Amino acid sequence: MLALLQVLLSGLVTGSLYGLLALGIVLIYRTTGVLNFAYGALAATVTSFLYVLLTGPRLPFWPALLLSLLFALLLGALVERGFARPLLAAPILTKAIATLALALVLQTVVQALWPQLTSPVHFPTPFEGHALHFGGLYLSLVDGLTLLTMVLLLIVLQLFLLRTRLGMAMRATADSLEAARLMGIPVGLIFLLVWMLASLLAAVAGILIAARQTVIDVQFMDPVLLLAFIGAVLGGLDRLEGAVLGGALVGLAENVLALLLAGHSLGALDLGNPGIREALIFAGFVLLLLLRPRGLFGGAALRRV
Amino acid sequence: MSAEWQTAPQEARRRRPLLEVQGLTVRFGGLLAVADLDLRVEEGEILALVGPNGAGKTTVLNCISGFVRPAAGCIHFAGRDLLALGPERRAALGIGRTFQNGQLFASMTVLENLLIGRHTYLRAGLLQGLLPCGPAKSEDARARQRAHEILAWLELEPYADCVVAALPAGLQKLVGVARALAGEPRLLLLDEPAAGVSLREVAALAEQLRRWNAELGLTLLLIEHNMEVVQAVAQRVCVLNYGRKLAEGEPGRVLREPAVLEAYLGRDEEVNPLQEQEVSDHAAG
Repeated sequence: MLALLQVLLSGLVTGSLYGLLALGIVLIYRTTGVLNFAYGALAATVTSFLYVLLTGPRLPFWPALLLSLLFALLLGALVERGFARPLLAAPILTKAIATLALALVLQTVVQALWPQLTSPVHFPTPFEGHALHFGGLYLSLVDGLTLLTMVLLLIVLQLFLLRTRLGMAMRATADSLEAARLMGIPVGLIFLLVWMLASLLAAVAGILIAARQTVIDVQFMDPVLLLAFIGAVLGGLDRLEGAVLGGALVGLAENVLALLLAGHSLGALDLGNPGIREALIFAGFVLLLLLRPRGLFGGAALRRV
Repeated sequence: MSAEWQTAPQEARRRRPLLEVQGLTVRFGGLLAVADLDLRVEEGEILALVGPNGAGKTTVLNCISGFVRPAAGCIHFAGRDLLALGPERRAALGIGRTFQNGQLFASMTVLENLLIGRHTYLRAGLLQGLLPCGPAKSEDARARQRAHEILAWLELEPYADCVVAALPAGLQKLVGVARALAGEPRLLLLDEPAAGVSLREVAALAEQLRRWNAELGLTLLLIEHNMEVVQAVAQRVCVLNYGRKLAEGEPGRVLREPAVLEAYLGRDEEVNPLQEQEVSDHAAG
């Protein structure tokens, strides 16, 4: 029982990280029609920036974190103006493929600037080695912070989107670009802000993931992004709540599978292998999509909005 | 109200229509969508733009609201040259519109749609709206009050907090109009208000169009396939075919002209467009 609770707890942590990434993916997709496969690279770039600040000039963690989050906003703005804006009118598939190129460009730039990140390096944080105990349950400090950050971010984001003019304008732009423009919403500014916000979310997720696994390289977000995408699609790709729930579901599935499969084997095949776990998740995902093509929570048909 | 009071300003308006389109020409690649079109809409009138599918009606509307840039011609609204202005500036001048496919903010509530429809609502700035007090907040309160008034007037108040996507199509159409009205337009462009509306509701719609025109002093320019609605509400009709004006004038007369019948139904058929509406209803649905 305790083992199951423990697994559900870590599933929740993993899931909230996937959910955070899925949230950013859906935010960008809904407002600008870009299916952003460079989202992981965006997160990795900011995380690498933080790593360099921590190890090069040896800045203390919190100022370095603040600088990195500012860098994330700047990077988001740069990518919007330099990459997304010129492609705004392009077909959705063209944009999706272009983001693959963007991911490569980002990774290459990071490698060129900071060659030490080509191979795995230790990502130092002040949280490493600390843990919280609740009864028999164990929660590492990073995981606790992850849950806390996630809850706070969701509350702030929800208030922002529902209660402020800017949030309303963002939702309106996502629903109908033409009408939003007609109603005097500065859609260009909205696009810019959406990319900055999404880049910030990516950075937070990337840094938390790096702190969690304590080892990073330039491509450390690639496998994570794939699972986050599954979460986003499960959520229907068109609603933010769906993205968070979809991400959480993938995280829970991953951890529960790990518990169930550990120590079992099928002939020479070790079922506890993480690769098997992922294969099962992907297979389940395909099956789910066959049954519910619009995702678990998606109501409306997928469309570029 | 005396007759003098009514005729004097009307004569003044006749000299200067609220909307004046001259020599409008639009090309999409090699296709001539609108060819040298002249159109005048007087303040306070209801003008229907009719014509077969692909005649360029929506393109004309898009030129007026600023989504399509014409190759030639000019458009004046209340004496101002529109072509130099972007869509949102034109909306701010008092040109509201609805869209054929709604273009509503579907994931938002009816009330939120109206708040955004009140484009002046954003005058105090998007960023200032983040502050807990200041001019943005009092503007918010005024906008809300006005939105509720419009909802009450259109009998949409019970749906104020419903998400638009969850409403039936007929109500969504009405929300589109409410959102346009929230911008307090002088000229309202309606793109097929009766498409997708059941035959039973068509009479009610026609009645409402007349009411908006009378009670709000609203000038209406509508695209409509449903000839019942056109006959019931329009004071003038302009018939387009292949981007050219085929006929213009009083609906009862214009819709019976041989050239109009031919454009609608082809050469050899002797059918009245009034009976053709079921076909277009099917096409719209």
